[in-house]
Amino acid sequence: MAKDLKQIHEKIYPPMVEGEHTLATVSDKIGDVTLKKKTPWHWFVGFGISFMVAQLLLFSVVTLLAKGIGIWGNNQPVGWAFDIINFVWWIGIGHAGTLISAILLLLNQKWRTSINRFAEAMTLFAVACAAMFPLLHTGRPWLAAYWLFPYPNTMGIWPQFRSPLIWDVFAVSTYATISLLFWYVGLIPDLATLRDRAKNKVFKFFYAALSWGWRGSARHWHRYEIAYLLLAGISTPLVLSVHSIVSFDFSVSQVPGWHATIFPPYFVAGAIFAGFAMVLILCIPLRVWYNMKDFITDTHLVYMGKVMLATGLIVVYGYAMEAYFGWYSSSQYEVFMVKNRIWEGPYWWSYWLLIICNGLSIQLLWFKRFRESPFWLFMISIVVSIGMWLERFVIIVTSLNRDFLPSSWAMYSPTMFDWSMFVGTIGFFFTLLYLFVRFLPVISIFEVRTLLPEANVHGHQQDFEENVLEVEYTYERTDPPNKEDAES
Amino acid sequence: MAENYNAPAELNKFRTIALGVGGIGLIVWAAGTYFHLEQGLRSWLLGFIFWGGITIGGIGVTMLQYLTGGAWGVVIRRIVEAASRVLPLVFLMWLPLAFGITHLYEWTHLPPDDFTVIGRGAYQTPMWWVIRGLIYFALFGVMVYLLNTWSANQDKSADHEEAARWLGKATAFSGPTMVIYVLVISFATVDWVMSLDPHWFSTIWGLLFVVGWALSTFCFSVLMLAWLGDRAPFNRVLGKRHLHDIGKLILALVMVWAYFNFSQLLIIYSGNIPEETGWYLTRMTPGWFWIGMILILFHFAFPFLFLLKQDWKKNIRMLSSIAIFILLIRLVDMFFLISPMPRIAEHGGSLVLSQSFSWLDIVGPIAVGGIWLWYFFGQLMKRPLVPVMDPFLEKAIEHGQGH
Repeated sequence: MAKDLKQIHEKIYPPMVEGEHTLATVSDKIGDVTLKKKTPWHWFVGFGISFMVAQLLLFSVVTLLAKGIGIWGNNQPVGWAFDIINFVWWIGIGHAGTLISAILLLLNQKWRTSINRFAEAMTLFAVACAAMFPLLHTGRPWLAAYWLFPYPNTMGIWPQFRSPLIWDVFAVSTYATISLLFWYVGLIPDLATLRDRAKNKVFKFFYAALSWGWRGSARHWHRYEIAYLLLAGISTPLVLSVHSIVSFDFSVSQVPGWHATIFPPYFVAGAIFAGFAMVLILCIPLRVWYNMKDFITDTHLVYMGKVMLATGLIVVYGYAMEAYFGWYSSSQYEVFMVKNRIWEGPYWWSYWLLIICNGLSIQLLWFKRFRESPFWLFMISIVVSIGMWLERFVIIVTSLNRDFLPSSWAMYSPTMFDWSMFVGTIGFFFTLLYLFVRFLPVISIFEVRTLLPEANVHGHQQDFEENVLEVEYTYERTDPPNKEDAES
Repeated sequence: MAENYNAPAELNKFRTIALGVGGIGLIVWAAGTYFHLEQGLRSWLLGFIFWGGITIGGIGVTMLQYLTGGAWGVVIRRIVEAASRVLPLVFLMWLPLAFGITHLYEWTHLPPDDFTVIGRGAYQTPMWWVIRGLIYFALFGVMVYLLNTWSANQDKSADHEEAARWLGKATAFSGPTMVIYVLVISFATVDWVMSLDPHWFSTIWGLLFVVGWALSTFCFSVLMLAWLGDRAPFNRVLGKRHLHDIGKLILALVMVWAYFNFSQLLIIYSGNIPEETGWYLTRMTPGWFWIGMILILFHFAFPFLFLLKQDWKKNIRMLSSIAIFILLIRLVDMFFLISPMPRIAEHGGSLVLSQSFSWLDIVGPIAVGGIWLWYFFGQLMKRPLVPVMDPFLEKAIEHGQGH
């Protein structure tokens, strides 16, 4: 009977580490990517391409600074276009990292352990890309310090505190700071592992400096666990607050199509949706190239697919409610907005593309066949990434190009610089990711170790979930195992 | 099935009391409604939305626990299932609203040139309101029927493998059905509550109820756990970690409730357009304003701070105290949504709090609640208090015993 039960449990909740692994093989496998293995040829190819694409960004930014934002296609009435579309797109992508690292930690979801490290790195790089757009759209970023921050200047000019744009400044800078701290604190034990294993003196120094003298004593672990849990607690509201505030950029205004009370939760769901799509886009090739299938198992992909389905459905619910209430309100402006967006306006095609990308494509994830196939997950993720970009295009451009005054209606079309800057940030993002994969452990070594049967404090070969529970007890323990050690 | 998990017979006593209270409440309510039909119906709506919400929330929580797994779900499954099985009674309670529609909803009296009458057409007619209501109940009915039948079949399974198949079936059903469930709530609450004010709309409305009703259901379940956990057989099942987990869920829902309401307020306040802002202007007049303040402090701040403390979430006395507190304040929240809405007797105007509040607003929810509880206890006693054959039962019980 007990054996039956074990089989049933494993069928429903498969183990999160596959293959025969011990504490040592985990460290070897992940640590060797940075320390021992020869850098594979595909790394050079990938990095080279990304780095070249990133030059587009450099080119666009230099041109922008020299000539001003007139090089973009923004006009009246479409005063906001690619700059804010790309900002929202990038900042949304970052949210999956925070959700995985903070919320899933608090929810005791053990599958987060092997994907949190690079998801957090992705968050940081995405925020870096996002932050560029609001800074650069000022045209003179060197003056942005007192435009954006409440900097007490002699002219007595202050930002408008009632504007969501200034809330954005605080939200995004808080988000970047906490994400960086969270990522770095989580890295410290692994950096120490790499320090101890590094043969090359330069590398040894590099990791030693970054690991701050971590020795792995009980006291270190004790402090570490408290700090990590606290950071998780602080990060959790950020998952909701940052994108809610981004949604306020639109919803507190009166533009039909922007002013909707559902915007905050709908934007947050969209952010997590886009973020999980990006995590899948990154981890599906990563686990093949670096032979990490034991740690990022098929089960991980299935779970991420399910999260993507759930958040995607919330986003589709948002579309449905916008259309329904647009009609229900019977307000001429709202009704016009719905018609303009869906069939009467010049950008109707973008709405239908959006529905195909975000609404229809994810329906495949209901079926095991697609959910369990890395190929299909990868394809759907790419489609979703495009869809989430289109969503912001639909919200911003279609709402603005037909505003209240028909005499000011105008079409918007992006210029080459709009595109080059956007594509450039993608290059920049992947450049940073390639550097990260090369120099830092992509998967958390010590956390994956806690998933192994050895991590069980009693050392019994019990079934998977019991092991995990035991680990959880050690994880939740706030008093160190050896009190004298801690007090000395 | 070595162990007996049947509900304690003492519940019968509560059934009788609930029926008595509900019956008396019903008579008093009927008498009051005879003299003031609109107020009587509105108070009935208050009771219907509050108690019906626990039933509809019960359907949602049943599906949620299948989808997420977790020990807390195994522990409260039978309670929320029983709450969902009160649906036939909730349907009967909806009938007075359907029959009294022209005395309850101002849109039945709008002039034909009103922009909503033109814009919504047949959608905003009593006939379609009733037809939609029947569709909502039919859809909820299918959910309740299937989920409860499969759960009963699981109990009758010969072995764990068969039981796991029923579990799988319910889980597979819950995913797509959750989508339908949220949509049905969104449309139903527009019909039942939002349309009291035909000219106002807010796109987050449905989610306010999805979350609010789930919160009510969890709090109600905690009260049941508190009572059952003191007695055989449930004292062998319930552990501190279950309470901790459910406490965390309640905390999360309290925060989400505040988040949604705050978003709605901020967006409408900032937009400041006449289509929407009247809703808050009414609720900012003296009297209503203080109810709003009470909601901020006691539907959010106080339970939030209270539930931050881990020891209190693990302590059944503390957790059930805050649960009953939240349930009461949920009723205040529903009152704040329903009562200031435009009235037919006032020709579409709203009343200030002192005129708006009626003794029927207390009797209505008591009448509905008494009968609801009577039916609920009956349902709870019909089945074992835990899913006895569930392959995760033992594990869930073990989980509860941890720290």
